[in-house]
Formats: sequence, C-alpha cells, structure tokens
Amino acid sequence: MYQIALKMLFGDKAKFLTLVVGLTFSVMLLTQQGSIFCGLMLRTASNIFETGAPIWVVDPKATSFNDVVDMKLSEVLRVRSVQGVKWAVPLALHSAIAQSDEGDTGVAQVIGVDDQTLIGLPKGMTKGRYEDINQPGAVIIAKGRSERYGSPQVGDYFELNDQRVRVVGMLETQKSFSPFPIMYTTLNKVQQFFPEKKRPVSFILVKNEASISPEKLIQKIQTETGLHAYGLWDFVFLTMKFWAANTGIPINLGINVLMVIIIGTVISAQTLYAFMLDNTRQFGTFKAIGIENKTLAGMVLFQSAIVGIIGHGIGSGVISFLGLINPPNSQLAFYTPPQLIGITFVLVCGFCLLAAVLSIIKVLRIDPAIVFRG
Amino acid sequence: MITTVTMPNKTIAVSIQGLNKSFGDGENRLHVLHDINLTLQSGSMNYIVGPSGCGKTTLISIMAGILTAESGETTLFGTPIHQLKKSQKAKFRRENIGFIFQQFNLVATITNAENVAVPLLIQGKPHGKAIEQAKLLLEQVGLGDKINSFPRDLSGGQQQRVAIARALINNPRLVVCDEPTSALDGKTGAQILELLTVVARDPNRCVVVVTHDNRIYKYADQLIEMEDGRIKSIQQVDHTKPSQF
Repeated sequence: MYQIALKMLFGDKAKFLTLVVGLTFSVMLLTQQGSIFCGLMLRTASNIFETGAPIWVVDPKATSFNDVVDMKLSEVLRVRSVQGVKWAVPLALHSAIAQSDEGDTGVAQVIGVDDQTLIGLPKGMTKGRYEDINQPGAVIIAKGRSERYGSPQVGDYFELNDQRVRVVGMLETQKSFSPFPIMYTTLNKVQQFFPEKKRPVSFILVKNEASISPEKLIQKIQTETGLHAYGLWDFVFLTMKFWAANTGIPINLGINVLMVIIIGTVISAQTLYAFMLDNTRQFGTFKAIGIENKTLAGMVLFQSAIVGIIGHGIGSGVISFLGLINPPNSQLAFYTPPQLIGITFVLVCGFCLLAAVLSIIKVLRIDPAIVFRG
Repeated sequence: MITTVTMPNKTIAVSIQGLNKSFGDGENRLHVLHDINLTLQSGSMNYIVGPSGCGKTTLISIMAGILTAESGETTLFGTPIHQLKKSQKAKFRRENIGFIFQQFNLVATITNAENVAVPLLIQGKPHGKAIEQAKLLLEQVGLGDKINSFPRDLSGGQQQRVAIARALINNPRLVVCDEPTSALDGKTGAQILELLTVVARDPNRCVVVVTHDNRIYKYADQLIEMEDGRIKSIQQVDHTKPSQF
C-alpha cells in the first residue's frame, strides 16, 4: 500500500507542489536564519582560525579571545617547560588609538606576534613581505578593515598611541565580527607601543609534540602551570559563547527561528491536513474494504516523510548553494555547516510528524460509512 | 473470478435478526431501522429498494460490518459479525466482502489495475502479483486495454466496471452495491447489472444491491422493499415469467 500512498501523493501535482513548496520555504527560512547565526558566530572567532595554533593557553580568568587577562612573558617559559610542548610562543592583543596623517582617528586592535617565528601572523599577504615586520615601527594591516583610515597603502605612515608606525604589508584576512581595524606587528614593538603594560602577553600559542595528543598536553599544561589551555575548536566555542552571551544575537535570531518553526509547522500541518481531507473518500474506501488502522497510519506517515525529505532536500540545497556562491569576505555573514542541515532535518521531521499525527487522527476517525453517501 | 455456475442448493449467506439502529441523541434521535429480520441466500441477487431515507444504506452498512447496530444479530456465512471487534470486522471485510459504490470511489491518481489491486494490497499481497491478478480481472470485465489508464480516462460505465473488478478481486462471498447504476445511463446501467448478475450466480456468493432504479429490478432474484426503516415486503422474482417490471 505504500506504493499506492506514494502515487496518491505524487499523482495530484498541484497539491503535491503546494505541500513541497510550503515545506521548502520553511526549511529555507530555517536554514537561512541558522546560516546567518553560524556565519556571525564564526566571524567572532576569525582571528583564532587565522592564527591557526592547535592549543591556546590563557590566564584562568580569560573568557574568550576578546576578553583576556594579560600574562607575564615568563608564563611562556613555564609553558615551554611542559614535556610534550613542541613550541610555545606569545601572542599579544591590545587596543590602541590610531591616527592617520589625514587626521582620521579611531580605535585599532594591535596583535603582536613572536619576533623570531612570526607564528600567529595570518597567511594571505597581498602586498609587502612578512620579514619587513621586523623593521622599526613596522605594522602589517589587515585589508578590508582599514577603510575608515582611508585605505592605507604600503609605505603609508600612522600614529599608534602617539608613536610613528609605517605600513609594510597588507593582509587579506577573514571578516571579523569586531569592527575595529587590525594591525599586526611583533611583540617587541607592542611593548614599545604599550610601555605601561607589564604583562604584554594575551595568549600563548602551543603546538604539541607528535608523541602526545593535544588533549593530553592541554591537561598537562593546566596541571603544571595553573593556566587554562584549550584546543582550537574549544577556544573558538568559548569565544562564540562569549559573543552570544553578551550581544543578544541568539535571542534576536532565535525569535526569528522560533517564528519560522511555528510558521513552518502551521504550513506543513495545514497543507498535509488539507491533502488528507481531500482524500477522505479514498481513505474511507480503504477503511470500508478493511484496511488496518496501522497500515493507514503508516501510509500517512510515509506520505508525510516523503514530503519532508523532498522539502528539506530542496530547501537546504538552495540555501547551501547560496552559501557556496556567497564570497568568503562579503558583508553577508553566512555559513551552513552540516550540523545545521541535520538540525533543520530534525525540525522538519518534527513538523511532518506533527502534521502526520493530526492527519492520522483525522483519517482514523473517518467513518467508513461515508463511502455509501453520494 | 467471474464464473457462471448453475447450482440450485443454496445456503444462507446473510441472516439478520431483530436489527435496530438510530442516529443522534435526545430529541434529535432518529430511529432509522426498526426490528429488521432478513435472510439472504448465496447464489442470489438481492435488491433492497425503497424511497430515499427509508434506511436502505444503513441496512447494507450494518450488513457489511461498517456500521454497528444498537441491537440485533447479523450473521454472514455463519460468522456473527455483531460480536466481532472493530479490527476483526475489518479483517472479515477485507476477506469476505466486496464493495461497489454509487460514485465508484476509485483513486484518481493510480492506474485502473492498481485500483483493482487495492483489496489484495490491503491484504498484504505483493504489489506485482496483485497487479497481475488485477489485469486478468480487468480483461474479464472487458477493460483489458485500459489496464494502465487512469480512472479519469474512462467513461462512467467503464469506471463502474473497474469498481466491480476491484470488488471481486479478493473473491468475496458478499458483494454489496450501493446504487451502482444511478450515475450511469440506462444502457450502461443494464450492462453493469448483467455483469453483476453473472457475479451473483456463483453459488458461494451473495450480491446485495441497494437501488431505487426500477429499470433494473428485472435482474433481481429477491426484492426487499423498505419503508420508514422497516421491511415492507419481500418478493421473489420468477425469471421464468415475463418481467413484471
């Protein structure tokens, strides 16, 4: 009877399309809202991804990449002394007042990387050379985040905390949630720009030896130094959690998602229910002939599942495609992870199950005697 | 299968004793069947006739086990169906009863063969085998060239033939027909009744037709006339004499 159920579903193209379109739009809205949320959250952690270190060590009071408690340089040595550490380098993150020669002024984030290894400096240099960062007063600017200073070029000068700096390179970096321009320099120069800071280190970037897993090394670092250590993704999630908790993004997008869930449920339930109503006489005939209730319920569930799978496939496919063609550094923060597709699938299953249950209740209540009514 | 068998030894197919049925409650209560007693034999074509609202359809609904009477006994081929639970009734129906409806009640979006195969599919028979059997039956009702067509491609008479094939595919012992000709013209109606008459000649089968179409009374073996929820008369039709209808 499931083949018959399938043909009943596909046979009436107009009704079938109504069902699928209703669900597709619900899935598209859900996936789109979810993708924007994921895109925004990923941007809060763009600096972490660009740095690329597998282990991040911070002061125990630090709550995210953007909310750190600075550490002394000696902490780097303590971390290096932990067995299993391949390398450990400092990374500084501080805010400074930047002023262009044209008089544009604003806050900039200054990231200081290890002078010797330059670990922490993102890949993607578009102009200039990495090694020039060691020149006196040299900074490398993240392209795309410096427009407010008149899009400076290599060779241009800045005032940074009242000290003269020169742009020696431009980097193509990921879009960040933070609106402030980022300037990369070395840790030594950070200490020059911020002479008052006795604790210049914000993070210690660590790489494990091949003989030890990152997870085990994290445990060892925490035990032996008293500092907090995180794997890359744990630190990413910590940062996302910080932004989520402090910006209201989840609530605002969550309301949208909730509305979509309600609308999606109503659309799905209503269209599927209407489809069942349209087939009341057919189901009544099946009941008169002697179909078992469980078979009838199975047919409705099957029809509902098919609509759900098709609607989800199209809806999530369209949104995923839009995500793919969205340029990586566009203004639209948009990322559709596989987990989001899974979550929307579960939600769609919920819509369809609810719609199917309502329809099944209706179908099971059909009086087979209706078949004798003209 | 549709076969013509001459077998005079008839057994009791349907036995109804003291049947009462009403709808609604309190002041709105409508008593539609009053103390119905009826016996139908196998191998016979039985017509239940009477004006609209006299209780014909309610009677066949109870007879077919899709409505429950308030009181009385309904026995089909020795099975007291009034004692059966809902699920048992459904099983009994799918194994023993074929239905033919006024509006045909075919599923528009499946082929004629699939429509005919529905009772077998409901019984759990594999799709392929059920379709093969349906094709044979469609050929027997003269629709061998319409197997893969859809009901919408057929005339009313052809649709009713598909419905008859569907009613017969599980080789039922009781075939219940509700106004099978009212949606058809006279000539097509007569053809349908001729087909049903052949069906009714099976000694193991009983055909019950609800109708108020007096043009087809001549095909009946027994005419049960109802009025106001009661059986007014039961008349045996002698086919050896010229038709009185």
